[in-house]
Amino acid sequence: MAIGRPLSRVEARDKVTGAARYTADTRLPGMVYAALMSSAVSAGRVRAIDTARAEAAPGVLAVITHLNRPQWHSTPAALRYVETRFPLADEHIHHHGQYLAVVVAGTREQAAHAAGLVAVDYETRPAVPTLDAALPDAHQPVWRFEPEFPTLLALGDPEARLAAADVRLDLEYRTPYNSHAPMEPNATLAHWDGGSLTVHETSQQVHLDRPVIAGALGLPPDRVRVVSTLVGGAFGNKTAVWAHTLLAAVAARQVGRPVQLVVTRKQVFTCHGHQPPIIQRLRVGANRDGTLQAITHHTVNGTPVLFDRPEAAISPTGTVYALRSVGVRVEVAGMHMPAPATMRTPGDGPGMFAVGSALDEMAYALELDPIELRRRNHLAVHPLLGRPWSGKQLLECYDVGAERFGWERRAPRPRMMRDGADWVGFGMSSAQRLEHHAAARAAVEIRDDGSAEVRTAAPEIGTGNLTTLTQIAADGTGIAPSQVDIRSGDTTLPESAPTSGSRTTGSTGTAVHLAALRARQAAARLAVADPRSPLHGLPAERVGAARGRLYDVDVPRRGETYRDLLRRNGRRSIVEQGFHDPAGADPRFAYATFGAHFTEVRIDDTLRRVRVTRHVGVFAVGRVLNPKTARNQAQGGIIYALGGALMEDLATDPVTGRFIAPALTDYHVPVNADVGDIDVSFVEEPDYNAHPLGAKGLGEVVAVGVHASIANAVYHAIGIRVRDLPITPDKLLRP
Amino acid sequence: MDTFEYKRPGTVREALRLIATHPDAEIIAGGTDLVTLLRDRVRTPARLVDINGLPLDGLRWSRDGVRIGALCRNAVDDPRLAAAYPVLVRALRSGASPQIRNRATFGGNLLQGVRCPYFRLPEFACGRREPGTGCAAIEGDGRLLGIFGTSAACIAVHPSDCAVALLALDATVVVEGARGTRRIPVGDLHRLPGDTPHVEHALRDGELVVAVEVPASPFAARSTYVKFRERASYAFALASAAVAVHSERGVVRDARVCLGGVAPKPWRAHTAESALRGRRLDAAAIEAAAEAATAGAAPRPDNAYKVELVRGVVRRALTELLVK
Amino acid sequence: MLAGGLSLGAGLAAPPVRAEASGAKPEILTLVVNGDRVRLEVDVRASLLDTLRDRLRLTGTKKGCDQGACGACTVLLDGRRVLSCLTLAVMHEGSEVTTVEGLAEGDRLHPVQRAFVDHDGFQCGFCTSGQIMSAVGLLAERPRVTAAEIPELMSGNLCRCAAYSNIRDAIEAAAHLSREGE
Repeated sequence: MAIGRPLSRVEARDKVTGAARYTADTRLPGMVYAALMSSAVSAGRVRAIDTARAEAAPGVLAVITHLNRPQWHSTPAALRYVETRFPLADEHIHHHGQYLAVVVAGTREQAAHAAGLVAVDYETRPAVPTLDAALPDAHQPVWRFEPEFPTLLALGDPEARLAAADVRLDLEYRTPYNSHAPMEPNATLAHWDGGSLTVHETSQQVHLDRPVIAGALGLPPDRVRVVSTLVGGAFGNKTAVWAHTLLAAVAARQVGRPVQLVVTRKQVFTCHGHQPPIIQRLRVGANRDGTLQAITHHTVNGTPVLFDRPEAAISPTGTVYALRSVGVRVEVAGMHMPAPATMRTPGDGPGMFAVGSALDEMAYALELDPIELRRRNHLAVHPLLGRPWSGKQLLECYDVGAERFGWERRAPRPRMMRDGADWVGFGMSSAQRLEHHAAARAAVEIRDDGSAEVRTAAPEIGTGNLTTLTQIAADGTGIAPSQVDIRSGDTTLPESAPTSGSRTTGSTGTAVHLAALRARQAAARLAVADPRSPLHGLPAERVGAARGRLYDVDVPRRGETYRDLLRRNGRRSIVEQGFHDPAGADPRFAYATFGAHFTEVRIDDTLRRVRVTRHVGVFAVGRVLNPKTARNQAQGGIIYALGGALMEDLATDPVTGRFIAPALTDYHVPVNADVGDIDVSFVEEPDYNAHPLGAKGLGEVVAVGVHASIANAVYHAIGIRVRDLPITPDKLLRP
Repeated sequence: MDTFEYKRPGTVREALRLIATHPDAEIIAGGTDLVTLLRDRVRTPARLVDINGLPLDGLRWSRDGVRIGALCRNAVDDPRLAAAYPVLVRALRSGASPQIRNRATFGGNLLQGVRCPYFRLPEFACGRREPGTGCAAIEGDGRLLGIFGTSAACIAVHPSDCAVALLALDATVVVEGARGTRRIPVGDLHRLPGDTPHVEHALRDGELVVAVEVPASPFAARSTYVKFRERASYAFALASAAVAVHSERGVVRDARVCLGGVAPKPWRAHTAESALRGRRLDAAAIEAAAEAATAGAAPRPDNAYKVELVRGVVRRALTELLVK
Repeated sequence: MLAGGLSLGAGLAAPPVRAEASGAKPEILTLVVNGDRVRLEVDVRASLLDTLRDRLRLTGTKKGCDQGACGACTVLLDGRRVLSCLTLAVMHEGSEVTTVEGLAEGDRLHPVQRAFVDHDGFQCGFCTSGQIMSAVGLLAERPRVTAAEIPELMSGNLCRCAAYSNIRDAIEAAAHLSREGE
């Protein structure tokens, strides 16, 4: 079996030798460079734009603005393009950093220089700079993803239940702008061949990008090829088509050469997605016996002035704990902000910060252990659907985590644990993430040299899917993983699920599994029908496969290799397709992944910065395909959320709303020295109700609940409850 | 980046001539700050004078102390320096990543630009960057900005850790110009903004920093540096303290308490030094000095927390000296 | 094994646009890169990073921020680790540069590379060249580096996937290995 083994990544050697090629590493003959020029104001209008100096600058081949851009041929479909207008739409400016021109030149230095020579006469209007300033505009969003992601929901009578509860809490939590900050800036290499366009793009989802690009340019989708083999981190900011892609494409058409456009880090921070600021009000009621009675959760998040984009922080509220009554409401408020993008973990990340913190506050109010409060409100069924979870090992996660962490050493009240100059605090939270599906296709080819190839479009963004999909195909065909090649990240390949939303394992993995099984079955059928095969005449279902060989499961000695079978039959290969149909999920169940987080923080009493010295994460995600990559991804998810909890804040100027820290120098993400001992384990129970492989998504659930676990530990350490992230030193001052 | 004429002189004399003969000349040494300022068009020199070919490297020890060449890299790893001036070596190590310290020089470190987002983003008004344009930070987000020595024209902070340590060591900057050599105490190198924030330091046109001289002093060996920042490493200081104490028979004869990350220049907390002099260095004296270090602080609501951080870094730094 | 896609664009001819069209006087520069002496004309504005990537086609060195803040562009310059985005190519006449492409000897990976594979010291891989070059520089500075020192001494290299624990383990293992080899 390849599945379950800690195989090294299939692309590991390329990644350590520099041979791994990312979008900006790809070059074509005659390639030239584009740079983007951004608005200096947050709201207003371009009264005049002077490109003469830029056009006259050395090496410049083209300068494109709203005045001379080619016509766009469609209007953007919600969320597939990031905004409701294509770039350089007109003279109006709706956010700081909005792209106003693209400059193409012979070298990178020339393009960057000329972009700085584009002069704009602005008519400036006052901006709505902050969420607080936008609050009068709070309104229910117009949103096309109901009901999967509801924005208004009521179950039972929360007001009455709250009024009757023994203990009531009314709490406000805040999260600021957060940035995905992947290491790789967004980039495009666009080139035309006659009427066909190839776009090398930093994308998590080549097939979803294609119709957007084709639509904007007025091309049939089959004239557009999108290639994204390796992506240097994404975390959601590469799940949509952004302005630079379309601008690179039109620039390449105009200059008649391949155009590379790599956005600057400042532009990544500004115009390529973020999680918007959110204010959450939670009211929770519970009885003295520790039973939760009701919860209401009202959120408002910033949205661009031109369209509504709710951040569904209410997503965990109604489904994580047993509650008699639930009321949730999501509102948005328009700001002059660039477009947000889904960010690890959309909705659940900020939502579980609030819910997980509120549960902790309630545990103190009831003088109950926080785990005990959660146990008493454990939920066996999805309350809105009324269906049991297909597999839920949350209680085991609590047990395993508490044991590994040493939770029994926790003092019952805050400010009771001290080690020298340090306050010590323990906190915990549960984790949950609904399992989402998407249609996915894959092909598996068994070749006459005994090897196999997997083909599916899913880009490798760092999650390890090249490796896990290889393992799946290896087991499905019975061919060693070292003999299985994989091709990915290209619209010429079968359409996978997007590499986002923790869908790869469940959806794309199932498609690969089915394709591999079908390829093996086709080979088995060929063998049993072939009089020269030692397997001739057997029922096909009695044929097994292992180590590149088909064999009789009753008499394993009897069999032959794929190589012999195919060569004898003059077949170069056998290719079969697999299709994962999301509509095929068993309707008797609800699907999710679960986990529990335990955090130890230490806070020096004099210099109060939170240090996460130990963190234990235990997750129930069904079967673990590759413990090596899974452990790495889980640790990474925890640290990603640790950044959000303790330091990440894309700060804004209160007058203009402009981000004042659009640099990795100033937007702090965790560094190596911030990371303590991160212990990851799994309660591994295959969930065959969810998927035929028994494996579910991993990349997001690991990051859900971390913020609350840390905030809860901080409270436990020093008795200060921080409800607005990040928990920076200024919020922990000595009284 | 705008283009420029690139020059690489081989002698100090030639370098001085290249600076003097061009009004828009800029000196590049390690480049670890300047290259980012060029890329963001905060600085747009017409001539770039690369001084890496000048013989300004290395440490020269004498009975009077050490002379550190302006081109000596911040990664300098010299056991004698660590023993004689612990505060300096600690400040250097906390100053940046090893990669940056391998390039960054002493001269460049002292003359690096302030850390203020409004200075570094040309979309905002900044009178330090463009004289007379005002200061967008005043109405802006000042959480990371100064609480000492600021003015209505500028509230930036100087980011150097090394400079704070050098200030505590009574170091002197040696500069050369057409009219010869002069020495500027580190404390006088940077100018407070007042209403001329664009006048950043005391160097005259055409002058070049060639060395830093650190005197031997009775308190240098008993010194330390404490830097407090938002993450564990690789970040600018929210507040830092360089302290040095000379005691005789258990009584503090002289002391230095200098602060970083809180003012437009390395900040000397004279009141805190006075609070220590003549006393035994104990918990009460430390507490008094920590409190005194905040004298003259003029925080805004959004950076008032830095006052408490100043107390904290001073308290922590002096406490470290108790065991030395 | 990995097939398809990845090698696209390798070894193609340089674009016809030359540096002298920039308006700035190009400078002639000689570098010794991974042991090979190369002579080229550079735009005075070109960073060492862009020169390695755009002119010498050594794209293993990555541009993560161009702000000196992420460490992805770390190379060895005359044997010491530096950020290649923060220095101009023209400043390094005659210097020796080692990039990630210059570490392996034929098919034999450098011990640090081997350790990164074994310990899964990366996810997306974009910071990896910089992490590895920084680690090689660190081991040259301190062959006897201890596990406790590694986090601080590697904090100039961001990894947003946050494979930090594995990166530490890999460097510790490589340090151990190279000490054994002494």
